[in-house]
Amino acid sequence: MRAVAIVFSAGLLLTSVGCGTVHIDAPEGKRVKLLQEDAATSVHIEETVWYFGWGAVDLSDTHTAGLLERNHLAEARFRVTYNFWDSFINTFTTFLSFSRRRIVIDGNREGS
Amino acid sequence: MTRRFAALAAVLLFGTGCYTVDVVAPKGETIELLPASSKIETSRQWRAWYAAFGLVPMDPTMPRDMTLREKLTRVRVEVVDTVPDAVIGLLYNVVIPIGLGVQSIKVEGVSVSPTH
Repeated sequence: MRAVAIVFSAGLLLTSVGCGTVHIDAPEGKRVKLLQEDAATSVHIEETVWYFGWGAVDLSDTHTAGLLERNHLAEARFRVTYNFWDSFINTFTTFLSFSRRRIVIDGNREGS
Repeated sequence: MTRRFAALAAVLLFGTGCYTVDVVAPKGETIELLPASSKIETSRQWRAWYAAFGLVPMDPTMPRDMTLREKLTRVRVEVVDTVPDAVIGLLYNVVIPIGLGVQSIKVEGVSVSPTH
């Protein structure tokens, strides 16, 4: 019981330590317009990014430039968040110093 | 067993905070996104506070507000986790578990007129 309490306390400790940085930026040489909150969009992307060392090391590409380029988005708005599954998974993976975060992009492609 | 489930539920609650940051343009403004390597004129970083383990933003300042305040027309944003943020999270979620947390946000940009 004591061991369980210690492990849970350590987990609580670890889950509140920093979970990584996300960079909202455009691809080099491309113009991307930042959309307003209620602008109409046709593309919705959710990308999970992973970190190691409680956020110290990026295991995924944490720059939105790559996502914007691969999806040919000319305009977009962004949300950085954790949903329930991110939090649920982080609760367990954080013991091994892995954590995840979610980037949500709503936008429109070039020429649309 | 009940205590273990309660502890697990508490852990999940602490983690399902969201700490959501929206990056959108201010209403009526034309804003472009900057690449990571672009030179910038202005850099502002602040902490957004959240209650209820990240569910409720207490600080209304989001990148949109800072972009407007600094009259930026081209921006890039970082949602940053700093060591002080981690310490604050530890203090108010574990040591004194009242569900307060912070998320550091950085807005960098320039104030030139957009060309389209």
